[in-house]
Amino acid sequence: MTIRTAIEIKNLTKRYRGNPQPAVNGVSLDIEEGHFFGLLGPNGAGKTTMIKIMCGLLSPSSGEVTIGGLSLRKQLPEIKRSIGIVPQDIALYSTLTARENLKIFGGLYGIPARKLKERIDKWFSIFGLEKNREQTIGSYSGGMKRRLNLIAGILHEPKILFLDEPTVGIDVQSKKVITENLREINQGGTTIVYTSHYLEEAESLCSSIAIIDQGVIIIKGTMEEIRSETNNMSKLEDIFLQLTGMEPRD
Amino acid sequence: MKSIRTLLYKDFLILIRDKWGLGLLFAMPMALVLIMTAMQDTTFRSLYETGINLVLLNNDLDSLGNAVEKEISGSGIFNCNTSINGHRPIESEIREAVAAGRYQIGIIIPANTTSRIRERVKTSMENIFSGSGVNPGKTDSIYITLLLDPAIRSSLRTYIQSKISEYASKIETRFFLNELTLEINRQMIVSVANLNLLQPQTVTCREELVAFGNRIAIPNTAQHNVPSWTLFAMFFIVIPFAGAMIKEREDGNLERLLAMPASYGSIMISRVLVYLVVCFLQFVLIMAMGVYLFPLLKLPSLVIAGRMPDLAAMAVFASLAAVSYGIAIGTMAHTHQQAAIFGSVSVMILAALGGIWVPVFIMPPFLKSLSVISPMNWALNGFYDILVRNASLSGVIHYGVRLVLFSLAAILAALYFNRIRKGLT
Repeated sequence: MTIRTAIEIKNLTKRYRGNPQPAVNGVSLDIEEGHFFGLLGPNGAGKTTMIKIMCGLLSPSSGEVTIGGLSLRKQLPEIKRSIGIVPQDIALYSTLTARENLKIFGGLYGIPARKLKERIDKWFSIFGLEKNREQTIGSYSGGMKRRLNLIAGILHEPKILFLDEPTVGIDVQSKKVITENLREINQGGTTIVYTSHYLEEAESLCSSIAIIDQGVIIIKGTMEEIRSETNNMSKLEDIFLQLTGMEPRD
Repeated sequence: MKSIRTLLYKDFLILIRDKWGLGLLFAMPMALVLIMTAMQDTTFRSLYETGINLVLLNNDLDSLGNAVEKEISGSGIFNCNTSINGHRPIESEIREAVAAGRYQIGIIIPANTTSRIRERVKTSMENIFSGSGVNPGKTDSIYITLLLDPAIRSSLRTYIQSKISEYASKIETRFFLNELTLEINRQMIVSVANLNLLQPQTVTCREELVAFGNRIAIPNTAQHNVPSWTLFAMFFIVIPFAGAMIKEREDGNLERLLAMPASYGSIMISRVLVYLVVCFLQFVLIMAMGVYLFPLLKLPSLVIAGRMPDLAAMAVFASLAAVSYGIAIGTMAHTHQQAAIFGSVSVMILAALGGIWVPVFIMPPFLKSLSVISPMNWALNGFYDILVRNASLSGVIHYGVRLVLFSLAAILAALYFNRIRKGLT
């Protein structure tokens, strides 16, 4: 069986105006199809910048990115149809109901109305939100918002899903339902690129991991490969601290 | 196309969910137009129709005093009083009453003014016919005292002065001609008729309101105020518009939309279309208020006289300029505070330059030359040309073209700024 590459990154660099230090500095990375890929790093390491570039929200200063065999530079509209994003912020319209929000986000992918309704109902049921579908987001709890934030990113069944800290600041129950469903989505064939500061969660979810610091990938591979490269340290958190240091980041 | 439909659905829902905000978008401009029209109508009437309180002390009680009294009383501009508290006042009482603000103007015509004029003319005539000529240096000046409230407009002051001078001059001329007639008749064998009879007024003014075509709408405060304050209100939409853009950006919704099959352009087009409808509805409501509500409130009615389609076209151009300006501000401003402060102050500057508050023709030359850069000036001229000068749409289309070009420039600036933000330039 041939392993196909979902995301191919070559010498990616991103410099922000007024900042001499590049946020991402010559990163090259391949993410294989069907993987649950963890992009980990301390604050300001370059994770969000990389995700934003892969989603077409930021332009790279140099380097090439290919998503599903399509060039990010030349075929962004096609790429947008095949990827999903779950941002760190609750990117939902707070004055609209949950159903209206999903109708808008699903509608933008051109999902036919009937199919969209079926999918919305299905996800409401899976994530335990069916009773709250007509409630405005402003009245939702943090956990409910996180669950809906995730649904909005997967309604169109993307081939590649980008998750930027999808479980930050929520209760254990919501976290459990989100992580279980992410596993199922991944098992259904969706490649997932995930960032988080919860290293235990990352360790349990991810099939491969890269740790980035100061814009540079300092280690990448499966958990086994990473352990063997770091004197068989067992816990990801210990490996992370050894590689990125103990100093708190801004 | 489907994405535009979905975005329109989103923007429409967001707009109608904010019921207070939506209500204010309509209520505030209507209140503004109503208050400004009522206020200016009162001022207008206080200056030209209903009276300014004036007290007149006619100590002359002869030709000049009586003529001035008759003119002032019959002018329709003043409430002319010849008594204070039911009695004929003395000069000090008039001074006190004007100082206290009970009367805005006091006029004191001294005793014997007419007889002194008559005497002076007679003396002059005698000097002329005796061959010794007129010696103006020797003539005593006659003073009519004007006591004025410091708040009184200079135009009104000038009006009274010129009226008194005009009457004094007329009476002097009449006395002169009478004396001349008497002198000629004394010196000639054949008597001549009174020369006063040969003095018809040869130059008079005839007023005519000039407009294109046949229809002339008499300009009133509604014709002036409704278009100007409607425009002002329409441009104020930049604040909620830019605010909605910044909120979408701050909440992360814009990024989410941009990661979806929706371009920045399509997101903007959708919002522009929704707010264009809001602006247009503001316009229609304010026009309807001018036509139907104003007469019920004893305000002059807005006369549209079948020009609604042309006005509507101009309103669309103005709305486009307003929301495009909102896009530029919403894209460039980093925070709600920046958008609110810059948006409101810049709209007020554009309004001031555009002639919304003070007509452009009375501005100093420097500001007059700056007024042409204000899109509100173009739109206002378009409205005035249609409403009071009876211009056709083709006659004002150049203003529309300017407004469209302004909109394009604002949108291009926003797109360029967005590219900078994305790191493309």
